[in-house]
Amino acid sequence: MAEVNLEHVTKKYDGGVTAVNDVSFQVADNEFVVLVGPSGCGKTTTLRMIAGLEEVTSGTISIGGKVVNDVDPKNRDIAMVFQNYALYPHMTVYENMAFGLKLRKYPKAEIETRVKEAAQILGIQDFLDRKPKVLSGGQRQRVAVGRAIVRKPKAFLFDEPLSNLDAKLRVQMRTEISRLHHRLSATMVYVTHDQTEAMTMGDRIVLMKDGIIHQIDTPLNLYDHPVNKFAAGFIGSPAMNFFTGSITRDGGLQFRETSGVHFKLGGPLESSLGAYEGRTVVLGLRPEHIGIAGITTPASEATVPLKATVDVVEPMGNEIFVYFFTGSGTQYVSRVPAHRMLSHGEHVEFLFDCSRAHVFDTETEKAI
Amino acid sequence: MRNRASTVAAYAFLSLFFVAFLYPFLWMIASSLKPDLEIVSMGLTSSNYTLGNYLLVFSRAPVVRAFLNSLIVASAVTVSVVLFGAMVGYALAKVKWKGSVYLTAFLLFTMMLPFQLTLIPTYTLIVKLGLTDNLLGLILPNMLTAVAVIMFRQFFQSIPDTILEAARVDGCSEVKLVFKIVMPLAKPAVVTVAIITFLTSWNDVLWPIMVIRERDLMTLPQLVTTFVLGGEAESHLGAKLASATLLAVPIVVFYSFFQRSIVQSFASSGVKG
Ligand SMILES: Nc1ncnc2c1ncn2[C@@H]1O[C@H](COP(=O)(O)OP(=O)(O)OP(=O)(O)O)[C@@H](O)[C@H]1O
Ligand SMILES: [Mg+2]
Repeated sequence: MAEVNLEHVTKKYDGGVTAVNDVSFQVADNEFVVLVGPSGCGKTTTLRMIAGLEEVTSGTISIGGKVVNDVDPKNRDIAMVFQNYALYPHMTVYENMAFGLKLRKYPKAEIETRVKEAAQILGIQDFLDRKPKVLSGGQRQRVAVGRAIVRKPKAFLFDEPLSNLDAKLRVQMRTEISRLHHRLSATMVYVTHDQTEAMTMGDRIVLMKDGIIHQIDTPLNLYDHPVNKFAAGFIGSPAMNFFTGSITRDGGLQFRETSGVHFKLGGPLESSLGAYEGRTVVLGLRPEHIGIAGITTPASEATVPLKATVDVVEPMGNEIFVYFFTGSGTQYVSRVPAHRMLSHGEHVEFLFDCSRAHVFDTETEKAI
Repeated sequence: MRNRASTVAAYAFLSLFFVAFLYPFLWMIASSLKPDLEIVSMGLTSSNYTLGNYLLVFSRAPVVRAFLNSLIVASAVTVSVVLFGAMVGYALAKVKWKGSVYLTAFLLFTMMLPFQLTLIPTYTLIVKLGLTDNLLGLILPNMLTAVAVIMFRQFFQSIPDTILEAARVDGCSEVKLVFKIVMPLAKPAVVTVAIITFLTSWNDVLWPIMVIRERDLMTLPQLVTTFVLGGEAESHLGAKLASATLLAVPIVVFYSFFQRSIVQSFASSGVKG
């Protein structure tokens, strides 16, 4: 196992697309780092550069302290799991898993021990002499993971390995990969566009957009302290609510949404927002920080009530997501325990807990 | 009823063709077993079947030797064309490089050239290399063909890149990639190219006639041609037919072994044998 280090890595494709722009991050030994971001943000490109499948335009990539910019993939001692499994169709499951070891001239007995062991861990012992095409998607993905772990490489790279699986299997494989990470104490870089996978699996998350890293942090820090509006909106489901409005001083510091929604800003925000008086800002509030009178109790003194009409209600079992509109016509969502079912058209009082609000600069979108 | 009638008519019609195509072949085999005097008849039967014609051929021409020569040349050419064709085809299909489109176009262009055009230059080259009267003179100029390269390229293009990438990450070099991943996945292409190359090489007469003079180095078609036309069979029509039959036998055996693949090959390549 080894650490992976990217320093100022940039990738320009021939067509002129800058897919990855000055990206730097470190994956410590035995760490599980998730690269997450919307489609086309350069996650796959970054991963492929680590694997050596794509050349680096500038910057350096090192694995285990050694710069690998000019090292072929076969000599980087990394393993990669692809989104479409990429199993060798003409080989049995056993041969698929043994292929890398055979190429490295391991003794037969050793190969057999390793393949059997990996098959045991992944529960695919019974398919060893079958061809990939007769396996289900989930089984194929296990074989692909097995093919990676038998090699005991310096680092594992995953490119959206679960996105072709059905929802239930995805959740199951997610925990299995996390378990595998602990069991093998392996260095892993995992690419996904699914923020849930990122949150649940990563020791740390690298959040990308348009080829640029926006934030690198632990899942909880990323959730609680997003550095900009993009990070705030991308992480969390349902996504954070954003209100655009201006800061005024009217007794205390106030936030006044264009449509008239009106918050009093208290606590630490008051001091940091002083400079923004008279200016427009974006205020973000997570769905769980918008309560509903009668279901939740006001969470803090900074709670602001607002009457609105319920639009759509999504019961999740343990909780419900309640969508509603304010005067500005923007849709917002509240997330409350499922004590009481609400229905479309019902007038309720939403409770905005402004002590939990995030505030962003309208121009830079950076958190204030 | 009408259905049955039309079926019967169709079969009768097809049988006519079947006989028309097959009869000359059967007649050749039958006549090669008859004494010369009886060959004038168009029938297949005779009361005096004999192996005499064959004995004559074997005694006057090194048939076994020629068969082996043909086998050596056709096999060497086939192995080489498959090997190098696959490697070049892989490079053109999967190695990202700006010139590959132009190189492919150029190869296609060379396929358009009639072989007569390159015959003399190639012959001159073989003479300069001192490879006349040498089986290498038959093998060397045919070790790689544009058709094979293009066919491999087309087949290989359909192999998903991620499989190749997985193999590279697994520790595969480009050469091993061709032989361990790409070729096994393109088995139909390999079989097609191999069969077409083998048959083409086996049936070639013109080139061997130019390059080989020594009887012991002749290929089977060449030997039979010179035997039949070169006067050694004198006026023994039976012996001529026997030698022609000997020429056909390996092809028939080859065909019966690979019948299915051959039909598929010609169907998929659009090449006539
Ligand atoms: N081979 C290529 N040639 C040119 N541009 C490319 C190539 N591969 C990717 N790109 C471009 O680079 C950008 C980043 O692509 P990349 O595949 O890394 O995104 P991604 O984050 O993995 O997206 P997704 O979630 O859709 O897989 C995209 O704009 C894409 O169009
Ligand atoms: Mg991708």
